[in-house]
Amino acid sequence: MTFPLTIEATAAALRAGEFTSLELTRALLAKAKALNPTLGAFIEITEETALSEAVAADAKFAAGIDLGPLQGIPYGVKDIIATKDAPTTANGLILDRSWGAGYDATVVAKLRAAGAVLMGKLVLNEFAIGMPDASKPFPMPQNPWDLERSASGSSSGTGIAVSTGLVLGGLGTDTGGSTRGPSSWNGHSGMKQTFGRVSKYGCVPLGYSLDHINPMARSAYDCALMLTVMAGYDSLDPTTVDVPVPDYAAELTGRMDGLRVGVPMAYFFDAPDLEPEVRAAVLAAVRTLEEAGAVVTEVALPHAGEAKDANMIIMYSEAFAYHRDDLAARYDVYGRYTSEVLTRGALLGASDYVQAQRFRSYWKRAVADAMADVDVLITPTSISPAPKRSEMSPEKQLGGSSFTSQWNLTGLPAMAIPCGFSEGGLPLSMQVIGKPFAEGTVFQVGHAYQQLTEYHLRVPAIAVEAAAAA
Amino acid sequence: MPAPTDTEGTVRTLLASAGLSLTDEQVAMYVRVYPRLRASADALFAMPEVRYEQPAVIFPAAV
Repeated sequence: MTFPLTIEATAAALRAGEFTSLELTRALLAKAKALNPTLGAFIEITEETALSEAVAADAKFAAGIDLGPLQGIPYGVKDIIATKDAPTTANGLILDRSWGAGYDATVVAKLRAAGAVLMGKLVLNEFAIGMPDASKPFPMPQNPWDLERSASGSSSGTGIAVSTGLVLGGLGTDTGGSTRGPSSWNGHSGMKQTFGRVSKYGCVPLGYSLDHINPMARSAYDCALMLTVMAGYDSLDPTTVDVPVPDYAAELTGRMDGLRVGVPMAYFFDAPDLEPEVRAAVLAAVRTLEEAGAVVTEVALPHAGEAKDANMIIMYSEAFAYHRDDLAARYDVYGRYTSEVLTRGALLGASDYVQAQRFRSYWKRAVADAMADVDVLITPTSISPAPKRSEMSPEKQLGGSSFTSQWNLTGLPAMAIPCGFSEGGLPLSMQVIGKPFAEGTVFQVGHAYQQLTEYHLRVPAIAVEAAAAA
Repeated sequence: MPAPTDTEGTVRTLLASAGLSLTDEQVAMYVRVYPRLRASADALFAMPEVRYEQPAVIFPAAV
């Protein structure tokens, strides 16, 4: 049996009786178990939970109970987010194994209440920072489009699992690009919504003032379905904001008429390390949107490089406060790239942190000014398609450009949308940035683009072959 | 043993003050990245636009 690629289509098929959630879940469990040794997507597959939740979803359908479009939909959770039925490791040996035991993070509780089916806990860069370390006893994430290449991070397992259809949606986190990077290099959609829109309760922190828990799925529409369930004020997370949550998917029209798109050419399109084929693909996507009715203008957005650095200073400082004592006592128990990057926080001072927070105030206003006459900005998501893992290092990343971290600094919604493939067959991605709490507009752009293109529906050959063999 | 450079001395002091006791190889890695980090932080102090900004950290007085 062939199953649909998206949550949207699967939800319709479940209600049409084309297959049951249990049939779907069994098929995805088999595929996950077959591919996980190669791809390194899951730390733990929660088979027992998945089967029982699928049975429960089917029973509700049979009884005429419909909890909404996520009922019966298999999804995965980045293993830095607490789930009551599996341990949370943060992909490392440092985190106290009693942390998060026996309770669900708020987002997981919401997904469970919506009838979604938990498939398992997904691989990440340890503590959501650094790079994978093959010497540690955790799966090594591989890019499904080319196994020698990086699946990005830190939500690598979620990116791999969504790309290959081991799950229909998943949770990532994002402190400087950790949802959008894996979405970019694995070839699907991923939304970092406005800071405060989704509760972080039950998630191991990296940068307290920068962290987000986010939906990752094949399409913008699917991310909209997930965010509608995940969002909302939570008294357990004082950073959440009590504002109404729209039914994001219901608002999607697929039209771009009159939407105003700003393109910040400086830095985001002229960075020396930006690969020309990424630049060309994103500008082609902007032209597609313009032909569909968008009004496109160039906007000036100075100091984007400094914004990247301010985000880095805040993230290192906040993360180091959390990890300092463990680094002092057990430096080598961390993965080598995790400790390497976390310890950079020791080299910064309190005034550096406060100055970065002062820059943050300036940058929020500068971005608001730049967006005064547009609805969204569009930039590349990543500087390049997925590089070979052997060519990557934290030192190289430190000096490179980033197009994602600026939006953690502002807290603005920003979504990765597939917009092409490289000559080498690797996914390319554009980033759509919206105004505060205007995720609906960002989804509108992504959804409209995905009505005109099919990049988000392409599946890596390794997953196609696995499905054919099943 | 050659005398440490200013950067190396600074890095060793900062690491030690955080309770970190690292190998020479590990320290050398931080000596390499420290100038880049320091320059990034200093650049934010050099921006006239930020001179009179309030930091973007707030807290509610009520518990």
